[in-house]
Amino acid sequence: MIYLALILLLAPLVGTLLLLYTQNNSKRLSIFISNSSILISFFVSIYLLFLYFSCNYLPVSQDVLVFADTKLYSLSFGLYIDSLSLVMSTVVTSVSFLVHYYSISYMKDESSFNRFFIYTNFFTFSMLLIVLSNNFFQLFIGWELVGLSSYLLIGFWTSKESAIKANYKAFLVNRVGDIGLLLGLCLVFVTYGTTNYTEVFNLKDTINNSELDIFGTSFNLLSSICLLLFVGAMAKSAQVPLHFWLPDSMEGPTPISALIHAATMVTAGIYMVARLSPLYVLAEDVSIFILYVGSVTAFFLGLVSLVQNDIKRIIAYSTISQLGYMTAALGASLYSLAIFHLITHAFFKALLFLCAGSIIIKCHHEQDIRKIGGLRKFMPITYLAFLYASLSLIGFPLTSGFYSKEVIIDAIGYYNHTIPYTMLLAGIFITTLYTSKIFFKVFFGECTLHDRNEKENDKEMLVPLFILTAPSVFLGLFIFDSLLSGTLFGASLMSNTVVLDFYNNYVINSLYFFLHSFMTINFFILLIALIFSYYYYYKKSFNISIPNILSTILKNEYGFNNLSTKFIPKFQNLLTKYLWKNIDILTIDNGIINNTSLMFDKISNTVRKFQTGYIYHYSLTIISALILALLIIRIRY
Amino acid sequence: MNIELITFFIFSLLLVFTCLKVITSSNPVLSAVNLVFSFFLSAVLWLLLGAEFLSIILILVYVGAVMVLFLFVVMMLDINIAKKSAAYINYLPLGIGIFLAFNALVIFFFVNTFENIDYNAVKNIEIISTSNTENLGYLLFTKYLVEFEIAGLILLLGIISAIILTYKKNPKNKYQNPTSQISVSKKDRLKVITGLKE
Amino acid sequence: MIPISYYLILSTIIFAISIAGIFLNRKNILVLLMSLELMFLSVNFNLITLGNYLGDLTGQVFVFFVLTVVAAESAIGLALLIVLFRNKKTIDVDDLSELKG
Repeated sequence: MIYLALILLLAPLVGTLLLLYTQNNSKRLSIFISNSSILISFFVSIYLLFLYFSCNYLPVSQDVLVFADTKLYSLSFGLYIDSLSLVMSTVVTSVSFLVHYYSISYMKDESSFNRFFIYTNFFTFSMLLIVLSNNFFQLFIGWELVGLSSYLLIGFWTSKESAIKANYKAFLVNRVGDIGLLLGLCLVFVTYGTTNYTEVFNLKDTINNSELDIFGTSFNLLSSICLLLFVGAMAKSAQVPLHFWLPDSMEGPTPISALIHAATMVTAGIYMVARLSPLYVLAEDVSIFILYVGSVTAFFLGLVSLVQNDIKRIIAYSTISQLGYMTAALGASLYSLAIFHLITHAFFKALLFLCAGSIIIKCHHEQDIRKIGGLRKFMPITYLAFLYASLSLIGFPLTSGFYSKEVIIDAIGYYNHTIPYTMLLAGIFITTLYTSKIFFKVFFGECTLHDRNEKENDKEMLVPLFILTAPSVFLGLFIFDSLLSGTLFGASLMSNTVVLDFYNNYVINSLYFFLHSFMTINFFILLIALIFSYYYYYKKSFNISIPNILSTILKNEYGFNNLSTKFIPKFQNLLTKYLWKNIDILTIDNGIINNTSLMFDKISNTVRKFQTGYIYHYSLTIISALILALLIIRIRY
Repeated sequence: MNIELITFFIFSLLLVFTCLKVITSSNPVLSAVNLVFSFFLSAVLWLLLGAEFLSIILILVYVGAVMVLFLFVVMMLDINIAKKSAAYINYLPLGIGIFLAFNALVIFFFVNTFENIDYNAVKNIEIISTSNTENLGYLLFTKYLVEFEIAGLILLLGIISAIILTYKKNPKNKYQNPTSQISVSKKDRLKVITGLKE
Repeated sequence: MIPISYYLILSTIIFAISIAGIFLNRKNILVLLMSLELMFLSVNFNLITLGNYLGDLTGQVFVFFVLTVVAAESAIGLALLIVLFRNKKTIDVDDLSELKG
């Protein structure tokens, strides 16, 4: 089993290396290598998943390679195989494979076609490294590699200035989170003396109440660890203060947006928190914080997408908003629900992005939805796929999104977290609005296409849409019961009782939940939103003028963009200028370095005058010293 | 006042005077000649001490060999006799001062700390006979034999290094090169020429 | 009889003269070498005198060695002097200041 998992992990890496060596060869070869390596991974993970459940395995955590073994600590490369990591790796590899396949057509005109596949394969490997790792150290490496490949892919079009700026932004914002993650990791290492998950989990109770002393202020140690690690997750999963890199990262190719910035990479933070659920369960204050961060993200950033016009940016904000739902679920200790939404979201959001990519290709890289319209007749497949994905996104009954999202909202409501619950409910309304905004503007209305007779798109682009539609719609129903009752993730996620209690008292089973949902407030909000958007976006029967201030705030994205592009750089500019002028030039350069050399110059200039080179001077010195010595002897004795 | 003391005073005063002449005369030939004188005078003083062999050696080796070497060098080098420079005058008080200070200190040191200051310096040390030369020879060839050999080696070293340092190859002369002579092979000696018509 | 202190004082005076000779001499390295010879002479005086004082002939043996070493030394010194003169065309002490900082 462990060897199979190794194959699963290393196949994309091998693919990457092969691609690196065959970089200058034909496109067909690199297509073959990249797709087949991911496909191998995918089949292996499916097989492992099947094996795991059919044989009732227990979670396995095994070190494959120990590369720094001392008495005090050991760093190792190991695999953690349980239902969570297997499900995650299945999601990653499947979406990754479909995106690879899709990219064959999408990227066919690119000059650096092969480079793209190197990056994507490498990304898949890094993501699998995070998912399958059994220790914090490996997690951190995977985390950084994922950040690296994301950076490379956002800036894939190296000649596009906005892309370069966007990848800088993404990289820097992620750096903030990485500092948190790294500090948390160090803290884990210092307190537990190990980086292995299982060992840490076994030790967690012993230090539950110990304090961390920083400058006289004491903090709860476990809470500090959790908080610091969550900062890392916040940056990677685009939660509120550190979210603003994600919309800009849409400068990358659209398949990448689907793969990285919607389906997989951004969920790394969610996955990490879920994986470390034994720690987070104990840190209740941090959980509350996570809950509020998630719900604030879900509501306020959903709001922003209402005023956006770039199709990819809208979907990006919707991604942030959906990630907010997951984070809120994590905060409410509903780890399995968060993972549930993560899985379904991965499929329908990837589908949405791939549809968007299809639309963009068809419209010759036009991304502004105000200039696109009436595509329904010309792109029937994309239209249907987009429809199903949208339904899933807004949580229309029976779709995957319905099961995963409604259940989170209901559970949070069930546990009486009033403010987050309200925000999440409002989120439904907003989600419906912006989804229908894209949907109606793009597929209905006046047609703007010039070449109306051409085929919709290459089959490589349409097949993944077909395939992805299935899990987007049906996966939720399929795994709903087993997931909530705890059979799926029971061994790997903590606080099953919270979910189980909710399941037994509120959900009972999927059919009941489905029927019950028609009587909840969620459904009414959804219905109202649908009717509203039908009349507002489709019929255009009335016009609402948003107050100027509000729209300005929303268009500025709450000032985060200005914060990141104007205020922080300005501040940093001042700071660095000050540091440069006063610290670097005055103190270090002139003060320490130049002054030292000047001092040596002066001293040696003085000293060298003693070296006259004349014998008689030397002898005079010797004799004077001799006389002095004699004098001293004379005086002392 | 016995005759020894009178001899000592006369010769020591002369010695000091010649020593002063050695360092003050501007002509190096004069210096060298004065140095010869001073060696002669000290040889007499050493005779007084009972070191007969050494005083003879001093005259034979020093005056006969080393000082002649000095004189030869003076002649070989083309030295112009200059007047005393201004620096010399400037440094003269300092020199005198140091001279006096050093003397005062050391003499004071001797007088104050040395016991038996009036011990007779004139003495014949007897080991196997009354002859100083025999005694010295006995010591040199028994107790200090190794050191004696080493002294001989040092002298050899002095000879060799002096030759090496001053050796100047004259490009007009013809030399043998033993190294290349030895490393000649058979091929270089004999060359068989074939293919020539008779 | 001659008190031992007379000889010691004499050797001190010779030594002091030779020291003065070393740094008063500005013109000629040759005179410097001669001063060195004087210095050795004063040392030899001391060796013989104190050997007599101790009743030991080793002092004189050492004078013998000193004489041989000084002979070798002056031979090398003069050879160096000749090489120096050949290269620099001068033995003026004032001109020999390559070590000047």
